[in-house]
Amino acid sequence: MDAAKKKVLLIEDDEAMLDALYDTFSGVGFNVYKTRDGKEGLSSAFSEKPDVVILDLLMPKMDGTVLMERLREDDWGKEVPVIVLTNVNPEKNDILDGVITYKPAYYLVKSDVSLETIVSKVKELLGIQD
Amino acid sequence: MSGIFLSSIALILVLHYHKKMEDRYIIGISVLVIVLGFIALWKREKDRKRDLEGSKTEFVSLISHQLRTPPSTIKWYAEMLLREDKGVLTEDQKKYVRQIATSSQQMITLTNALLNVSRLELQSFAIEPEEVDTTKIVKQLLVTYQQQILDKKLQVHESYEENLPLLTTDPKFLTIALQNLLINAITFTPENGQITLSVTKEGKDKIHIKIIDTGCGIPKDQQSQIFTKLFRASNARMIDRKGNGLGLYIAKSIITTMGGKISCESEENKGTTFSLVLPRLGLHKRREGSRLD
Repeated sequence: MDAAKKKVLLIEDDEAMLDALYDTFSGVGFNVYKTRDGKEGLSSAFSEKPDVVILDLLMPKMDGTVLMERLREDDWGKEVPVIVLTNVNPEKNDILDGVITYKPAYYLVKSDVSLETIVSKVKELLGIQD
Repeated sequence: MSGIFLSSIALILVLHYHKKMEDRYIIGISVLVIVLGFIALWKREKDRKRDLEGSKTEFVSLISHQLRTPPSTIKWYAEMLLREDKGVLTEDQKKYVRQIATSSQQMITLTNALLNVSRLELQSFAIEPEEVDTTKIVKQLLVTYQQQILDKKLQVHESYEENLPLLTTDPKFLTIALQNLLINAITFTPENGQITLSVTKEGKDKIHIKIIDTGCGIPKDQQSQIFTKLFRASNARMIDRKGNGLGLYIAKSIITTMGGKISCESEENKGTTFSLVLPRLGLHKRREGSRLD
């Protein structure tokens, strides 16, 4: 299985981080879509139906927890793998509740993870071997 | 406010109608009204304190998010430059970019340490206890720090007693505490030195963990201060200029919160032993923002 056939949706409001993620995933052959707020991100998720969603939590217009809630209400959305990628510690009650309820595949803290690791997590989720 | 208001209305009504009531009823109702007023005041004060703590926790959480974001970005861009996707770097350029990455990682490490200190002091960690295999956590940490151990050619000796009881604790708590102690052992043990980790039973209901190194040790006149926030022994500052002096404070705070004890024996230029004794039933479930007591 090959990265080139797989779609990744990036939902991240920090432009520099979004560009870093976009360049990295494009560079290894994924089809990458990017959005800078939660509302546009949700809309893109339903229109593009990516193979994996990488999602920040603190975003304008719609935060990541609400986005996951809306995504999981949909038949397609309840199955799509989501990676939460944020710098918020996972111990705030509302975040913990969101993680437990909406079941992202991973909760990654940006400051503790390399781009290479994020790519390898995505490849692992999609069954792509190096 | 509403409790006091209603209590006041009730008292006024009682006083107005008192001519039609017997004395004992008047006294009883008056006392009840006063008690209700105090309960309302006490509850209001409790809610106010809880909201204040919640605000502090929220503030710390948001600030840590803001503080971590710029160095995370720097680290990622350094990583992309070193990948050389956009052009080959000279050796000097690579050296500079690695220094940029290292410095931003230090900033992240410091922010995480300050966040942990703040959360410990606000008692705002969410605690999710489960049955934990202590040996497994120690072994996982050794895997995490395998490269640093190899880089310094350190010999690691491990000793784990069989049939150890599981600890009821939050594994992330235990990992943070042990991680800080292991990082110190690695940092302050010179090349080709030794680190020994042992996990044994203590009595029926306790686990004893030891981390022993052959490092620089702690000067005798400074040993009483090592668990103090931001304290760094004089020899430690010479060996590792980038340390933040929070690791042992965090480790002790966590171990104490778990109901355990931590102690240290050390001799300068010979080495240091940290001993942790942890009760099997250490922690109760707690949501973030609520106090442990």
